[in-house]
Amino acid sequence: MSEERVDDATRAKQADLDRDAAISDLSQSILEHREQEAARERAEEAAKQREEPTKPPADGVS
Amino acid sequence: MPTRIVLLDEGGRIVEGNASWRRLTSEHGCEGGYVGWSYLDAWELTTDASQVEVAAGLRQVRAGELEVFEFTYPSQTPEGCLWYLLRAVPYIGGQDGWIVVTHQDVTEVHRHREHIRHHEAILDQLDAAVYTTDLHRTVQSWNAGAERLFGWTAEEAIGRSTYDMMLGRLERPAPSVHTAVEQGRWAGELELSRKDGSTFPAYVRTSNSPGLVDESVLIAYVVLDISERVQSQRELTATRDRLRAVADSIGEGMFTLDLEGRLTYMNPAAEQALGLALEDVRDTVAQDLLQSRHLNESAKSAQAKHASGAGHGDNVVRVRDDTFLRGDGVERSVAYTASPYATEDGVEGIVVVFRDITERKAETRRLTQEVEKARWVKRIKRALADDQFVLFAQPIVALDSNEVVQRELLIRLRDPKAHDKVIAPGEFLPVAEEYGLIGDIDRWVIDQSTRLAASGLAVELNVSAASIGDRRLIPFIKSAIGRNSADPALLVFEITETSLLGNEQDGQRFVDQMRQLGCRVALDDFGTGYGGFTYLKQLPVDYLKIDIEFVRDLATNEASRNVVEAIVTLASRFGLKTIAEGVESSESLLLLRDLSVDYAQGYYIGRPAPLEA
Repeated sequence: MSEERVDDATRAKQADLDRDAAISDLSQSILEHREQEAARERAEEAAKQREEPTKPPADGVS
Repeated sequence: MPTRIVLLDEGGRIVEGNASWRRLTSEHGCEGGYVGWSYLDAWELTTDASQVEVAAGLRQVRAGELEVFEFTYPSQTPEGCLWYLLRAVPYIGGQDGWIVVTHQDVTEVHRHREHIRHHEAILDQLDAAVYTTDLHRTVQSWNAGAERLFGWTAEEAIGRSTYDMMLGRLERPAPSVHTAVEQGRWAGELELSRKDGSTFPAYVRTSNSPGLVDESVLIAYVVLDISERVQSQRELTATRDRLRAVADSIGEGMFTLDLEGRLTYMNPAAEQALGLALEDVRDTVAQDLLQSRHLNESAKSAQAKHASGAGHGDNVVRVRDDTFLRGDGVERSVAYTASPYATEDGVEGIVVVFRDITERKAETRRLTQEVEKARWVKRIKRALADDQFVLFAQPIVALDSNEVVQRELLIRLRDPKAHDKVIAPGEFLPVAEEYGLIGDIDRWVIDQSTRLAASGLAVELNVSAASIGDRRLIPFIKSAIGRNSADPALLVFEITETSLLGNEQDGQRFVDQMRQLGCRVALDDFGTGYGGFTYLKQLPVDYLKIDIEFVRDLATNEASRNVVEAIVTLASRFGLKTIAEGVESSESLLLLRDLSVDYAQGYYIGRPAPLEA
């Protein structure tokens, strides 16, 4: 195998590793984003539960 | 008053009188005691009574026909009316035909007897048996009410034992008379028998009373026939039992509340439907258990109608849609009526009859959705046939030059019946996908897009997951490009990340063939799917479209910024361009530029709008 071809293979391998690292970083970032969103939703739900439930209008009553 | 005594001869003439007699005659003006007078003439002066009966009596005594003749008569005196007992007996040891007549003042006895007679007359008028017995249960007195009630006449009853007449015939023994005597007073209900053997329920009250004549104790009885009351009670109990049986057997759940909203009754259907046992929740406020939206106000409304005098049927409150919380915490949809009730003994409350409509409501909702979908299917087909779809375009700018480089085409539906009102795709695309119409819509969009590309406009168009798997689509695109003489380089096909799930081979084939045609492909909604992104190694797309979820709050959310940054890095590693969606502020736009995003679109840059002709 020539030196040039070895360099190409090394670069390709490096590029592949870089891609895997980028995929991993993105997956981790999205995971953190989702966890943050879930925590925010839970906090909103808890705040809603603490509030006195407002009675809806007396629809359906005759 | 001393007894007056007079001796008469065989002719009825007065032979002699005692001092008391003489005192009487002197008050009438005769000092000699009427000696030698006809007794009847003298006696007539002292009384208003008739001589006839007395004359007959004296004659009978004189003739030996009567041993004793007695006659009670009144006599007017300065002290008032006095009563005397005239008593005539033969004069033993005297001459034949002589008799002794005594006059005894019996006014007190007479009044006493009158008093007793008066009370007996009153007792006889009572609709109650009143009688007395001695301690051996021997009847001493027996009023007319007792005659009517027991069928025994006073003549038959007096001197007989009540045990023989009414108690000994019963299967259930009555309380001992002696117990009654010991207690001095007793009252209760007994089963008693009549002379004819029939029995009846009776209310009996006894009390001890002293005898009139001596110191012996009498027991006085008052007996009332309570047959009608007992019968009414039985009928009432039977009616209540019937009502309870009806309430327990009806399929609807039923419960009653008192005026404070506390549970007083639940039928078995209600217990089952609500997952509650009456014995556990009786007297609990129903609202605390059921967490209903309308129960309290309905009960109050029904009660108010009742209080205002609304008639039966007008005071019923109907609730068509509410929820009750079951004992196990599950919420059920219910419909019910709340009606006021009031018993004759003053108990008031509300009766609630309900049905669980959870399944019916879900079925109705499902049917309504089906009908609505069917309406949309018809509408979409008509829109395809009558060319009622339109394409709006939203500009996409290059962040390094701020120039519009292409436009995303977004489908809308015009409503010709509402002045061409524009209907958003969220209304009809889900139905089109579910009912297999999305392919027709995709083809309409592709045809329109190639026409626009033919006019020199660079456009992005969305292709559904269903069309990506459709082998006929690629030939159609080729045909449309050829038919409309479009430059394929001006066409960017958007496919979503989620459309590739389980569809990777079709997705890869589609992307490959589009690129072979000279078109480009964008991966839409990037970052929202659940893939691990390694598929990008086999999927040679040109653009990653960063979802609005990460762009909208870019200025305030570090996690969003991290995601965008990671996508940009990823895109550079794969040699792809990035397009940010949902840019709604200048801050976001500046940040995207700082993060080296290539392109952007959003309301801040330009809203989707109809293309100018």
